[in-house]
Amino acid sequence: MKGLHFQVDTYLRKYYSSMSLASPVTLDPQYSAAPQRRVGRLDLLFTGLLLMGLCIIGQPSQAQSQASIWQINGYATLGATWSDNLNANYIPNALNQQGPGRGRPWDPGLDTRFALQISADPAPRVSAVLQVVTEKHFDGDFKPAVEWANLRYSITPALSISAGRIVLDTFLMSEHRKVGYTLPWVRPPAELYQLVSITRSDGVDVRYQTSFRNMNYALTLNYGRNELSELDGYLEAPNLWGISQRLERGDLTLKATYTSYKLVYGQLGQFWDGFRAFGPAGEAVVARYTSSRRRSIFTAVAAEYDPGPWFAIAEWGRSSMRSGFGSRSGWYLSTGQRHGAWTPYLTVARANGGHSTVQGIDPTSFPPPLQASIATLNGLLDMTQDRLAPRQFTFSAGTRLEVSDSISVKLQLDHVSPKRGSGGTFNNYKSAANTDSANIVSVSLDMVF
Amino acid sequence: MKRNCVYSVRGILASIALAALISLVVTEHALAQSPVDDQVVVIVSSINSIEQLSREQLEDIFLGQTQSFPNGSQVVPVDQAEGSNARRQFYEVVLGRTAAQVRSHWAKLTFTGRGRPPRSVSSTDEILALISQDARILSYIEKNKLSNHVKVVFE
Repeated sequence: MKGLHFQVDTYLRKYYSSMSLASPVTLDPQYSAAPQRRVGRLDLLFTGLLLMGLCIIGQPSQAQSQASIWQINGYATLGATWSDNLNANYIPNALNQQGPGRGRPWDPGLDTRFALQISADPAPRVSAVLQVVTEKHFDGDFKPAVEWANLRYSITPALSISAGRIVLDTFLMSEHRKVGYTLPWVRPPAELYQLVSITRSDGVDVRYQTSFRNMNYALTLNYGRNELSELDGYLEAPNLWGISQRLERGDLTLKATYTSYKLVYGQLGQFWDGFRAFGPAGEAVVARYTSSRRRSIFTAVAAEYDPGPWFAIAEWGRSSMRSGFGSRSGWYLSTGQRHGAWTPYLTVARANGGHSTVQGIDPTSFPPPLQASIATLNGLLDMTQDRLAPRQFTFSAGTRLEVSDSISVKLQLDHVSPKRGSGGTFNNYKSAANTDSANIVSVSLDMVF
Repeated sequence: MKRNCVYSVRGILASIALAALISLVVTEHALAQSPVDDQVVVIVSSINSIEQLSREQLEDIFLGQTQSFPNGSQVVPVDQAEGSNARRQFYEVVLGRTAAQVRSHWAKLTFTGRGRPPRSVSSTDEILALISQDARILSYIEKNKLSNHVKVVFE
C-alpha cells in the first residue's frame, strides 16, 4: 500500500501541476526530506548497535573457536520482466514505481536483488543476525538497506525473545519473500502480497515453539514501529502489533496471522486539505475516508501441502482500513510437480478490491466555476480507492529448474487481467480508459550461498 | 505488434512444455541407470541411551525443528559432506527430500535468523571419531562402515 500511496501522490503532483484552476492544496517539496534522512540514520544506528553488541559479547571464549561464532551467508536474484502492455507499467511490488511496459518492455528491477547476512551465536542462548539487501528502491536506484538486525535470547529451548529490526510475519512466505531461491515462483502473487506494504518492524518479538503428537507449533507475538523510507516519509506506522501461528504436521503446514497497525500519512494529508477547502461537504468526505484514530487490521490464513513429488499452496488475506475505503482481500491457489530438476507450476490469483464506488463532494451544490476542481478531487479520490484496492485476476504458468544445489532458474508467464474500471497492478497508464489485460514474462536466476 | 506478442508468448509456453517433457524423459532415464547404492543407517554413540528413532523424529532433528532427543537430552546432528552418496541417500531415501529442497528449507531458516544447517564433516571416519567422543551426536553412515563404538537407531 505504501507504493500505492506514493503513486497517488505522484498523481496528485501531476494533476495539480496541470490544473488550470488554482489548487486549494499546496505541496511542500521539503516535507519528505526530514523523514528520509531519519530512516537512513535508523538503518545505520541498527547496524552500528548490533555490530558493537556482537563485538562486546562475541569475544570467543577458550572453548569456542572464532569460526563457530560468525557465519556469512547471502542470496541473490538476477531477474528480468517483460510486458506486452505498452500502455502502462506492470508494478507487482510496492517497493517499485517503475516496471515493464510503457516506455520499455523489459525491466530488470522488479526482482533483482543481492543480500549479505552476518549471523552469530556470540554467547550461550544468544544469537544475532544482520542482513543487508541491495535492491531497487522507490527512487529508482539500487541501494542497500537493513532488512534484519536483531538479537535473540533463548529463555528456554522453546521460548525466545528478540529485539531490533524484524521482518513482519504477515503472510505464509513474508519472512523469506525476498529470497527467490526459497520461492516456488519468480515472486509471490501480487494480488495477495500487496495488501500489506509494511514488511518490517523495529521492536520486539516473542516466539514460542513446541512439539506435540507429531506436530510442530510456533506462536510469535510482535510489537514495534515502522517508517517507510521507500515512501520518503509519506507513511508511518508508529505502533503495530501482530500474532502469527504456524502448525506443521508431516507434509502439511497451516498458518494464521493477525496484524493491527495505525497508519499516519504524511503528504497525503494535504490531499484531504483539498476537500476541507470546500467546507462542511468536504469535511464529510475526509471524515468518511480517513481512518482517524482507528487501527487497520490485516488477517490471513494459509495452507501448504508438500509431500515432495508435488506441492499445493492456498492463501487468503483481508485488510480493513476501517474507513470509507473499506476492506480489500486477495487469494491465490498454486500447485506444482517436481520432475527431477524441473518443477513446473500453475497459479491463479485474485485481488477483490474494496467498494466499487466512492462518494466524493456533490458538485451540483457548488457554483459552476468550482465544479471542475471538485470533479478533479473526486476523480483523485476514485483513483486513490483503486490504488489502495485494485481488482485483478492473474493466471500464471511457469517452471523452475535446479541448476545446482544452490542455484535455480525460473521462467514464468502471467496473464494479468485487471477488472473493469480498475487499473490492477498497473500504473502510469497512457489513458484512463486503458485497462487491457497483459501478458507478462519473467525470468530469474536465484542463488544462495 | 500485439499479435506478434501473443504469438511469441505462445512460443514461450510451447518451449516450457517441451523442455519439461524432455527433462522428464531424461530424468527418468537417468534414475533407471543409477546403480543400487549402499544402504544408509542412522547412528549414535554406543553410550547414548536412545535405542530407536522414527523417520519423523529424524526429520525434526535434521531439519532444525528440535534440538533434543525424544528423552529431552541435547542432540547435535552432523551431516556427511555435501554431494556425498551417504548424504544423498539419507535425505532422498530416508527423509524423502532432494538436495535442493533441503537447501531451500535451510535458506528459509538461515535468512530469517531462525536456525543454521547441521555441521557437515568431510568423511565417515570423521563422523565415527566425533561420535566416539560425544554422546550428543546423531549422524548417518553407510551400513558397511559400522564400527563397535556406535549404535544404529534407524535402518
